[in-house]
Amino acid sequence: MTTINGSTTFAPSGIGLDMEGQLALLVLENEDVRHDAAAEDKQVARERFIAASDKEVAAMHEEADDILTGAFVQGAVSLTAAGIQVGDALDAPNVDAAGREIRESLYAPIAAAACNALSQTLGKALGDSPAADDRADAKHAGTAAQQATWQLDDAKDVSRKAEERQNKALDWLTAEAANKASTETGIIAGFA
Amino acid sequence: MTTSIQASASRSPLLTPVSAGRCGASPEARLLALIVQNQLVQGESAKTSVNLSQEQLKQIREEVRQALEAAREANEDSGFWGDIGDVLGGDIATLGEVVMVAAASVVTGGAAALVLGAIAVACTLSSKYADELGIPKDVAIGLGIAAAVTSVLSGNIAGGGDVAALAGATKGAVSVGKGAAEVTSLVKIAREVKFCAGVVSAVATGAGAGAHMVEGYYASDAVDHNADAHAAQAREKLESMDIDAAVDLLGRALDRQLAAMAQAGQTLEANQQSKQLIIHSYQGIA
Repeated sequence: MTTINGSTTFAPSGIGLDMEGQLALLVLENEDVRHDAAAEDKQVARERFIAASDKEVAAMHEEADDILTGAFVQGAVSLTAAGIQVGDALDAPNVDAAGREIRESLYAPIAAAACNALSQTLGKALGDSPAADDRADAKHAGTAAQQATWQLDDAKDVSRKAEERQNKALDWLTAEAANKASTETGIIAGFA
Repeated sequence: MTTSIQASASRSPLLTPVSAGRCGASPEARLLALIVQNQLVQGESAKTSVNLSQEQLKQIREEVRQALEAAREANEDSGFWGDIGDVLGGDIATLGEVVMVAAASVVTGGAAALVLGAIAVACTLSSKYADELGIPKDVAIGLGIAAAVTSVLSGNIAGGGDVAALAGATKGAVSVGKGAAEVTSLVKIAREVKFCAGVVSAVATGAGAGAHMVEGYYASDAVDHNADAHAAQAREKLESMDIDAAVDLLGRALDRQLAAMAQAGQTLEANQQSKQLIIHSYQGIA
């Protein structure tokens, strides 16, 4: 048994074996190659799984950051609106000489209304929307991780089947050897 | 991990080299013994690996449990603060606005302000309870803006010179009768109510905004903990894969060990039979 470029080769010339034995060796070689390929697949799938999981977790952390940003921006703008409203309400109305109230400036109520209207929009633009994007990225990465697990399972199946076939081929070879031995014993007995 | 495996393997009494010394066995038997020894080493490695992975798996499961627990608590806190924010910034602030608009209508006594106030109230309520009423989000935002605009207009009319008109009317009414004085005091009360409602509404909006900020903080915290739990679960999966691989290795090692031992037994038996046959044949010749 020799190893060439990482894959194992059994008895290249099949020395001392009949046709069936050589065929069994061929099957062994073939399954060994498959086993090696499956092992490489497993390694690749494992690396893909790690990368996809890392990406998913990173996207989730980004989503958390975006939620926090959105909440703080929306809250800050709403607080500004509330501050303007309170200031406007507490501001004593101007009265003219006749004791009549003079029309108040429109700036404060308009600014408060604008801030109130903007708060949700800003919250969505800077918080909810990027967070949803990150959630989608996390979902995508999660699916990739799941696919990597499936790939790993497939590689395991291939590896298991290759081993089963190798075992069968080995059993066959063993049976061949036993037959040969019994034949030789019979020949010895015949000479005796 | 490798060090532990080597240490464990070297301690095993089963792993004494069999091929070094001459033990009188045939080359085939020694080869088989080598195979058995090799499989034993692999088996020991696999066992050690499984044991170590099991310990790590326990730790990781504990991490996952803690992260999920923290995420659940953060979600509960987020929900609590969200409810507070909804009550303050939603119900109380809306009620304040409604009272403020109603008071402004009383102060002005004008039909325009009343109509605007009614529109403002309707828009505010529709916007705040859009979900319950089944109003689409975009429409709700539009209603909120309309509510803000109409509220500003009606409030402005309330604070404006129209009061003077009402005051003039009431002043004229004083000369007519006693009821006019009551109207004037009603306007004063309405003005006070409007002021208080405006302050309460603004403060409630601010407090609601603060509560929603805290809600956002806890929501973000929950997602962070969920991400930690996901990371730990991924590591758990990797450890499980390692354990599966080690168990597979152990199973294969045992299978090969048994097969090699069976093969050794068969070979010895065949040798024995051959020797006996040869002895018998020599006896026959003799």
